Amino acid sequence: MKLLKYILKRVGMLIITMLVLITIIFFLFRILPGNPVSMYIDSGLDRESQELLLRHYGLDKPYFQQYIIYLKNLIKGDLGNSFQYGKPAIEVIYERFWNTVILMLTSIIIAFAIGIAIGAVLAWKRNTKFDLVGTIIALIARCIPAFWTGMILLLIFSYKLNFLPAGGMHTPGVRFDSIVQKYFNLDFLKHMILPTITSAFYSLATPLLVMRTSMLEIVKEDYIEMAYAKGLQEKYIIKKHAVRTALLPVITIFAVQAGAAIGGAVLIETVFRWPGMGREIVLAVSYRDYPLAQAAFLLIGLMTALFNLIADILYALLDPRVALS
Amino acid sequence: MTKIRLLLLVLVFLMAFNLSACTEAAKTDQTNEDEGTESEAPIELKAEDKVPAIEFWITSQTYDSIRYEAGHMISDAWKELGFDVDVKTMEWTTMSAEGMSAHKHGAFMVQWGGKAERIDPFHWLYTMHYSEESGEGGYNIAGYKNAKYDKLADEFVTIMDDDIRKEKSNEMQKILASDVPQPPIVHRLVTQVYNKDRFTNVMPSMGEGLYSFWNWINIEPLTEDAVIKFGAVNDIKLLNPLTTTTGQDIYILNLIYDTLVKVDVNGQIVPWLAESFNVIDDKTIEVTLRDDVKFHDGSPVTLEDVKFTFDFAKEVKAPYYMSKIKAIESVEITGDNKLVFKLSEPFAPFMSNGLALVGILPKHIWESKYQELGAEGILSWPNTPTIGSGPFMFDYWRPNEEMMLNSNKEHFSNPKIDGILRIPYAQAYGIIQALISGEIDITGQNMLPLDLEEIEKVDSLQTIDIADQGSYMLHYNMRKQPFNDAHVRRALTYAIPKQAIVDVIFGGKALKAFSVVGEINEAWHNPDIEKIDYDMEKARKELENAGFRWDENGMLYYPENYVPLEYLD
Repeated sequence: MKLLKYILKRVGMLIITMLVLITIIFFLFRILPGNPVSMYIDSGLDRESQELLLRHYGLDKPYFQQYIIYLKNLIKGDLGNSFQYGKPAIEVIYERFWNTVILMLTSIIIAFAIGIAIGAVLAWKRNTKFDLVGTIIALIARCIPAFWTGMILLLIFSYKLNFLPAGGMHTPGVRFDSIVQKYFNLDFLKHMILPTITSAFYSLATPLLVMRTSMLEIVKEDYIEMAYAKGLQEKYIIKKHAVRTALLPVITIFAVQAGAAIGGAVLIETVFRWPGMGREIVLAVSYRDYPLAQAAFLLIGLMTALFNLIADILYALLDPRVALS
Repeated sequence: MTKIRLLLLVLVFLMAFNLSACTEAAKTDQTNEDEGTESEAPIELKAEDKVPAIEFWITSQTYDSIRYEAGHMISDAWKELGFDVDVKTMEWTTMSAEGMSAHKHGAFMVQWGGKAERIDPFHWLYTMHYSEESGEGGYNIAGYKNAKYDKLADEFVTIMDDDIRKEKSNEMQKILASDVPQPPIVHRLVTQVYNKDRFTNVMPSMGEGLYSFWNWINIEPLTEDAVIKFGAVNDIKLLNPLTTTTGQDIYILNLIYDTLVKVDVNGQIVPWLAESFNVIDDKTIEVTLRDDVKFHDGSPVTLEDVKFTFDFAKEVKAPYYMSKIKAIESVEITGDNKLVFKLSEPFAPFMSNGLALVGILPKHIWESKYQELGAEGILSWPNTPTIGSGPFMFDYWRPNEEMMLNSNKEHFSNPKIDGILRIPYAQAYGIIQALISGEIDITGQNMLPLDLEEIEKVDSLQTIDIADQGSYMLHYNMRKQPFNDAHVRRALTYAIPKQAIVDVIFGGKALKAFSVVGEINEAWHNPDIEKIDYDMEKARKELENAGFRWDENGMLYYPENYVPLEYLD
């Protein structure tokens, strides 16, 4: 009962957060100088055509009226038509969304698997040279911008060695009959290797360091000493006693990291010509495609908030020390 | 975490920015102090006579390094002349809205594309300099309102006779070259690349280069694989010809839809979907339609389709088409294969800037869609698969990945290649690597000197240089001081280091520009004009002769009892 109340309260807060978010985003874009027409003015649209376009986009009305219309449509689930593509913004995003999710989720999972393993080992070998070097490498990985890693990998593996494709999601000119075929084939996997490595390398440090810190706390606990005293093998103690308990904080940051990664895919998608959502957001902002940008930010905001909510609930469920208040 | 990193980056930049601003401020403080201590400053230089600061907008270095670097070179020269110049870096969308539309600028540069329809200098001479185009959103960005010029412009646009139009055009170019409301700086020599082992017979046009419609029709394959892979930076957006706005979309739509006439590589009007056309008087044009053309879905192109296209675009107020067809009063079918366009008033560039740009739509598709979606809906209709009658047919499009066009082998001017695969690379370096690895065969992207070093190492790649009839133009704002004075504009123009810009910024790959109508546009360019080129001495003289004065710090002051001379005559 207490838990249900907690969840309900959290969901209520989430709705308020989203309302504030969409309001800020809505006005923020309109305060920016320029409008969807200004990007193309030098291509020769005359004054009347510009006005016709703005009227067609509904931008001739006062901001507040536009906002009311936007909210009304939002309640109906209509996020508006993208100015650039002429179709519903949600449709445009949906096409790109899965490309991003597949790439980022894969790399996050890999980053967490490797990060947790290395973090555990480093903590076990704490205060050795091995620990020192490992921690430094992790910190360096955290500090190198993802686009730089991406470009270096491209330079080595595609431009010089010609070993892996230089970007894109498929070899140019390939056709598919179905969605399944689009994502489940060797060609797609090959194109996924470099961006996945780049992104995973970048995301590696967080789980690694959190795992290491968490393990360091645990190995000092009495029950680990107890396990030693019982005469258990070291490998067994790490696996069954230490790692399991230390995983808790790592799992909760997974939710937060996953949300952030999908929002932060911009650089990787641009470097690797990945047709995902991040690239679309950059274009939407610079072309002042308000409906598309609003929808994309709304979606990212919603995802991050949802993942946070899940993390909070998970924490409350898994760790009785977190008070439900 | 990425956000924090970005934030940090922004902070570092801000700090650097502030530092430079501080040193700037310190400098001005110092000069103020200097002025304060030297009480013997000449008395006749009153503070209110000081020439107001010029606000000069430039793009960021990453958006367009040319406008950034050239902007700094020009502003340095202006400062040397004694002008107080305030250089501001701006995002292009902002600059476009505030400058090109709202005309709130002091001075800024625009890279004007030299599209085929601009070979007839209507855009350069009329739209950009006619007084009535100077209102908000108009293309007369400088706010040039010269009565003498307007009279010539009126004649230029209403008289159908090309010889008379050329006379007027020559005179207009002469006035502009001396009055310099918005001087052109350079024409680019665009360097584009294609794979000469796989394709031959490319046909670039002035201004459009390999993007030219004629290139895709004429290019020939040398191997079995006759699909040409074409690399670009940005993807297309919207294939609805009624509402499209980007140049990239228009290039593709031109391949899918046929127009009645086309502008050839030399700027001549040639019949296309029209078998012939006949100018009956300055308000009546008769067009005879070809009878052997079919839409991609198999139905024939009829007079009904042609008439429908124009009537329909007017009815739904299609933004892109409206500017091309506003001169049309009516379209009437007058015979088996003839129709007549009646204009509401004479409009000389009607062919190049009207008929040549309006793709003929299949009535049977658009009429029923219109009934289904209404006037608003039809303007947002994505229109895929795109059905036209042109030499290329829409196959598929995966946004931000690739788009495929197949050749229409039944077309009266059928392409030699089998199709075009268009791939957007998001970044220029992606295109260069794709050319080197052989992933693409051709690009319309301009190659910079550094990129060329890599390209030239590959034997199969051929580069071609094409002069652009469009130009980088510097727009003064004559609505503001000190640009409302012809002497000031001339002095500022004398201070533009054109040759240095060509040599340093373009690595020699550009031509100095003096007339708004490019030199490469031989049919219309007037070589017999005043050529205001870099000469600081003449710049100084220009101001001196007009009575301008300098203080001991070299800052510029207006003459006594100053009355600006807006136009030379």
